[in-house]
Amino acid sequence: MVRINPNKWIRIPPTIRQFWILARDGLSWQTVLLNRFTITLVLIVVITAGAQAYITTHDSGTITGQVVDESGDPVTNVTVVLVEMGLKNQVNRQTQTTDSTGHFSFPDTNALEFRIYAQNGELQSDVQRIHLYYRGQPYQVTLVLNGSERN
Amino acid sequence: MSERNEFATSDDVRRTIERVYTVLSNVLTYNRLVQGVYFLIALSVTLLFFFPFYWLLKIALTWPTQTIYGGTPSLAFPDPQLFNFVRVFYTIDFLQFFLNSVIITVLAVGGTVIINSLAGYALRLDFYGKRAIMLFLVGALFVPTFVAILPLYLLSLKLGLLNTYLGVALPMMAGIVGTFIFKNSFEAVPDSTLESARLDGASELYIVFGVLWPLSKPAIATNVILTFISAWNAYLWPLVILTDREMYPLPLALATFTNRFQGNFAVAYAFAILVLVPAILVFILLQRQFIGSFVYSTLKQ
Repeated sequence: MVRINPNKWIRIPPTIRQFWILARDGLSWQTVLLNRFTITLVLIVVITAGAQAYITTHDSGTITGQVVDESGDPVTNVTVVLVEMGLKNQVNRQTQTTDSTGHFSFPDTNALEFRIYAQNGELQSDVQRIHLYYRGQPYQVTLVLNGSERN
Repeated sequence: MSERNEFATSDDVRRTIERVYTVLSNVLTYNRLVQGVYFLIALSVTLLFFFPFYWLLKIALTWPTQTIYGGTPSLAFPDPQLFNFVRVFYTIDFLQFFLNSVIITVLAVGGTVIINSLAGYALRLDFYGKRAIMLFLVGALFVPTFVAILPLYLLSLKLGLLNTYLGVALPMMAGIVGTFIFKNSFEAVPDSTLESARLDGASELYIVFGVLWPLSKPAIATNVILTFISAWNAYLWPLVILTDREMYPLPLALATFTNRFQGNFAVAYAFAILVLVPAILVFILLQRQFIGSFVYSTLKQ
């Protein structure tokens, strides 16, 4: 095995040479990689990277759902209201109308916490308060138009 | 004299054994009882200390946060949710503040183990005026940290270290307690070991880091943990020296966050837990050496 001897070209002080020997002989890849500090650090990095990869591939931000009546039949042409909530107050309000199968969709929402309800004239569903785990998380919700009076 | 009186019969032996057994079992039962009482006391104190952390976690895991105010307070976790932690990440630039804390802490911990061990080695040697220096250091322990804030600020100003990570970490890089921990640990190593190293051509620096360090792992761990906790939780000094909010470490960010969103206890508690977790993790990783250092100190005494 060829060993580089830097002392051939420059004069290295004995203290630095001794530290080089200490590092060379005292540290092996096993001691550096297979200890609990490195393993913990690697685990944290892997879990974070995995979570970030999942979020990046699942960030459509589409909130979909269906409005049904108390017997479970879809209700058409109902207004669905989505109110985006901030930490202090509401920040955004959007509405959509259900199609012929009672479905609705809010594409590209950036909400983290929101309230959603359906209203049809004087009737209204219960207000559902939903918090997502990350912005852009797709979410599906079923709203029951149960005949409660509109607030 | 009958044979019965001269020699112990099997009945006597049996009775003696029974008596000894009774006495021993009474002693053991008493010891068990005492141990049980000690255990109960220790358990109660542990629960008492643990309760604030438990309550912190319980509130942080409560969502919607309005449920905290309504109903009867309960110790149970009815429906734990991680949403308050999620909210912290999206409300502020948590990773930036976390990185600031990591940089400051790494600088402080790295500096402290090197500087304290060099100072500890110096105090291990015999030299003229050593006692005076030791007295000065012990006396300096009585000076509160707050008194040194102004001189430290002026010094940092002269060095051009205001609003820098190094400026925050520099005063934490040397500590009297840490120096004494290293000194005591180094003094436990026999002189003959150091003499042998010197005869083999080892420099003084090599003796500290190549000979004494491997023999003083508990002292290093204690220094790391103590400095880590003080640097990670530092509030006043970073507040004085940092003007750029982007460079704030986590405790300052937590204070700013709490002021900005007053009343959102659950989110603030979640933030506090996120600040606590790395310190707990470091303690768990270094627990063996840390406890080892206490055991070693006790044995030494």
